[in-house]
Amino acid sequence: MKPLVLLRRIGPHIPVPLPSLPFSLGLELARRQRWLQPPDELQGRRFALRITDLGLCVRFAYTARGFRPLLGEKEELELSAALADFIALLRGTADADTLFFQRKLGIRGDTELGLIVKNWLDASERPAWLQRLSTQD
Amino acid sequence: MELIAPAGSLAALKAALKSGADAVYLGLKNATNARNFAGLNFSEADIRSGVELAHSQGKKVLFAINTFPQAGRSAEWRAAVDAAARLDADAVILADPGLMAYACDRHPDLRLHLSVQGSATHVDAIELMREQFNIQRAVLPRVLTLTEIEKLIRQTTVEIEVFGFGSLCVMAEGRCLLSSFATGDSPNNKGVCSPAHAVRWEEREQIMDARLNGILIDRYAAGESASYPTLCKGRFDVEGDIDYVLEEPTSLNAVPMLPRLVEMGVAALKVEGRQRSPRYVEEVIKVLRKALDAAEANPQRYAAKPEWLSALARHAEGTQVTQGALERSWK
Repeated sequence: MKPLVLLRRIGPHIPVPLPSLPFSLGLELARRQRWLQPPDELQGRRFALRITDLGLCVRFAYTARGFRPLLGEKEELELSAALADFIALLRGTADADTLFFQRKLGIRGDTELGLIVKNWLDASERPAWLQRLSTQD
Repeated sequence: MELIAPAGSLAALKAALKSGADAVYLGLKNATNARNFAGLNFSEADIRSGVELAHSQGKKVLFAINTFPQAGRSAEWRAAVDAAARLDADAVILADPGLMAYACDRHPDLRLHLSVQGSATHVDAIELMREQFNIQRAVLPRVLTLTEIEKLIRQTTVEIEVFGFGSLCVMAEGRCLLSSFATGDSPNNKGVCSPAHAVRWEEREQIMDARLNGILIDRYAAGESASYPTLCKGRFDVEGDIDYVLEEPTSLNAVPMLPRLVEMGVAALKVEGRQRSPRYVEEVIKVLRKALDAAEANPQRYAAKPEWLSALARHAEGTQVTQGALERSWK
């Protein structure tokens, strides 16, 4: 069975903290490699990403020491979309407002924080390897 | 005809230039421009880089300072004009006559464009601005028909710029205080229609509520296209009917009318959307570049291609487009 198909089946049954740890580690690694350079406004803020087609949710915070899984505390902003749409946003091949108009991107919580994240991603130059990332099953 | 692209970041500016824009318009990270959104817009260092890049390609950077100086805070707006001159912008887009007077006095070589926020819809208003402040171009509010634009162009030497694509608003440009009834902020005092801190989206069972400062302004059914959370595009209960009261969310698309705009002597075509991503800028500008080139090369045989229209419709607010006032038959 292909990994994404398997994830779609088991995703809704995976407890939130489980994927949050490797996801936060991935973000932190990207930050340390300077692929991700979050603006100061994001420091101390708490996030959740809900991957709708996989039924998965990851929760994390950006602290003075970097990205950490969010355990216990409630997130301030939740973004929800299908995996392919999240990846398109990350690669810079989709427009967040267009996805929002089409109801493919959901935003809950602090809208201003959502705008800061969106505008930060829009302003960021993408590394070449990200352009090659595929969403094929 | 110049093609003018929006840029909310240096990445968007680069995408615009790469995709065929002749000029980009941009603003600072403060209330001096009408897209004062969190995390959006340019530092002075980014503008300097953007201007250098544009000029190296023979293209232009237009500096939007298109809100109105607030009482006791005019120094902030004047500083923006000074920055535009210092950073070698090709023009400033201004709405406020007091600021135009300042620009004329301090920076006589700085080219002035009258912003759409200046709300000049007739030749007397435009000529007054030319006589007083030597404006070189006026951006027309999106309330005029093609016939009215054509007549206006014949009556003035000021270059005329019109909108070609992008989200529409109630077009009380420069005078709109609507959102301030809900939030205390308005485009003219904070540079935003609906400040993000006042916006909340609540979704349950795929039905999404849009709230502005706690006030329910729209409720979207499952799968229904969404729009920006502004009061003007909200749906309200009026005598038992829940519907759009002021306007429907939609985007202007003037692509079918380009030969006519070229023929009547429109100097520039503007795309709305400094709040949008570099991807939007790239895709929209590429389409408009092709369309404009086709309209200028052979206006008689021009026809808007279906793939252009579908590419633009995909990015439209509410996923629908209109030719707006350009084609209306009534006055």
